[in-house]
Amino acid sequence: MGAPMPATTVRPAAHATSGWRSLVLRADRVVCWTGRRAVALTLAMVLIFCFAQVLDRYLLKTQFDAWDQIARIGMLWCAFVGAAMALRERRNVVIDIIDRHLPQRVRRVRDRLFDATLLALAATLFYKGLDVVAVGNFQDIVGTPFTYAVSYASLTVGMVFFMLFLALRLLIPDAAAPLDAFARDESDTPGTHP
Amino acid sequence: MILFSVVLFVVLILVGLDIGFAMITAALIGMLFKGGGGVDIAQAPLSMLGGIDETALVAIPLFILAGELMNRGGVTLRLINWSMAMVGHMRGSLSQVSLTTNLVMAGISGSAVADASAIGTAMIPSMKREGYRRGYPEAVIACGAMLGPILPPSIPMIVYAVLANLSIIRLFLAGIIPGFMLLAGYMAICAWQARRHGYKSRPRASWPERAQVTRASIWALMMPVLIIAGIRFGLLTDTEAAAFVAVYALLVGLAVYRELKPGELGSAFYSAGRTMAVVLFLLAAAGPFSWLISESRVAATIAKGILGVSDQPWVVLLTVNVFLILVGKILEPLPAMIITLPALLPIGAQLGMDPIQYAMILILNLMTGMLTPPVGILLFVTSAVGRTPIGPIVREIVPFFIWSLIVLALICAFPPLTLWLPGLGR
Repeated sequence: MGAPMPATTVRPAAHATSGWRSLVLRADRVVCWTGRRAVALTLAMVLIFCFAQVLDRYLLKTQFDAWDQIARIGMLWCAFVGAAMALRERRNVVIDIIDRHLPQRVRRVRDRLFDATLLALAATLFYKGLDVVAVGNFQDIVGTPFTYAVSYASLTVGMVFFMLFLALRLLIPDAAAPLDAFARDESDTPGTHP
Repeated sequence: MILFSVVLFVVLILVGLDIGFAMITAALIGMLFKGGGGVDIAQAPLSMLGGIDETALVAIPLFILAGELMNRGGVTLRLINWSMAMVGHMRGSLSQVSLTTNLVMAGISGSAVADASAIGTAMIPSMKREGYRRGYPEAVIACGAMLGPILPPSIPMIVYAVLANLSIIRLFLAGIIPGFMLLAGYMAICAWQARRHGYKSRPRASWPERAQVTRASIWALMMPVLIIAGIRFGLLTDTEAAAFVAVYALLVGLAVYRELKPGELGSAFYSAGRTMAVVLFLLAAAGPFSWLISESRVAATIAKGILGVSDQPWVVLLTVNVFLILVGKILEPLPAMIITLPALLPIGAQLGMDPIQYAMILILNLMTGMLTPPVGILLFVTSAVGRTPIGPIVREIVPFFIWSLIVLALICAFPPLTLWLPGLGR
């Protein structure tokens, strides 16, 4: 039946021997490190700006009135980069209703086909997203020094993360997400959803 | 073409493609082959961004963050201890404690899955040790967690309010009576099951013991009160209330209970950010599909079809409910809401129903979908936590599901159940 996919238990060390694999996995560690910090920081930004709005109304009483606009930008960045991280850590939502009925080899072929499809989709959204960013460049976000390009770029940057992770999965299908202080081994815990 | 896109989407999710990307793929195909020469697929990223670029949605990451900080800061554990002291003497004490803890958690986190995994991790092993039937502990946790989106604050209610242009606080208040009706029925079912299968109860806690546990948990118990009071009395907007409760959970975890270490904050923020990203990405991915449906005027056709079923409003309402139960079987609640609301909102208006009552009917209906296969997310979360196959859980969930449908029928038939509280003090 369907379930959020569990994090794979294969350890990266098992594959970190040959030259190109080692290089790819090192790059993966850097991208994951960056992505995780970006997600945590943008969420912290959302919290700080929303709470600052309350403080501003009752205590600070500044003239600044775009706290919520900036929090919204933070949410968009957190959402698209975070979604890519969820895919990397296999915490995205899939239905695995037919998985138990498929032989492992067929499953592997299917997974690679899906990864290639998602890569093509992410590339399309990235490419078309650039047009949207270009349009957003002419629209100011009221009360802030930013244009909508800052908001819209969240999707294109998120798609870059998606593309990197999907390319990695095509190169080394069983590479587990690297662990660090922000992401410990969560293979025993379930996936995430509303 | 739209029918092809819908079929493609269902096939893709059933063969195991990521649900968000399955929606985007189906929408892109639909756009490319739309009559009249297709559509520029730049519409896809545009409608993805448009789907979530809403200030009201900022409350979602903050409520999820509050839930994460509560779990790490020892708040959840104190709520379990408090529930144990209050209802631990009832038949099937652990199942009653699970439901009561869910009730309080529901008033804080707004996320059913966050509640299911937090409480399930603590309670399912204990229930198993006490000899509860296979699948029953998971069923109790899944049903208890379903209270999360019915009682305020609720992520699906925030999304619905944004889509239907309704007051979030009125929707929050409308969920309180149905939420407590669900809880009362679930507790009665637990008592009945405990009697049938001889599940143990604990000795009744004395009043001084209860007072002591309440004092120890007071910071945790205050959270839902602060949220509702803050919003209801106009001190905070819903987004600000979410920020307020997240900061409150942070301070309680760090300074009062001292179980949250400063070194853990990065990991807590990341984990909450990733969780909310999964939610918001599904919303964003539903954007292009929703755009395609509204462009193709399918929504109007569905609305017309359902309204044409009968002249009797109750038959139309029944048809809406059956339609949603079927939709809830294959779609997650939030994408289902985004995709079906354009078709369903005009029906409510046509029937002359209050939009708040109609919203509660739709929300409760979609939430019960989380308890049914094949896409019932709460089944899968509790199955993963309890390491139990889905089959026995589905069997044990049946009485709870039936009660949920009875509550749904009652709120359809008796508008005051959803309209009385939002109407107070207007």
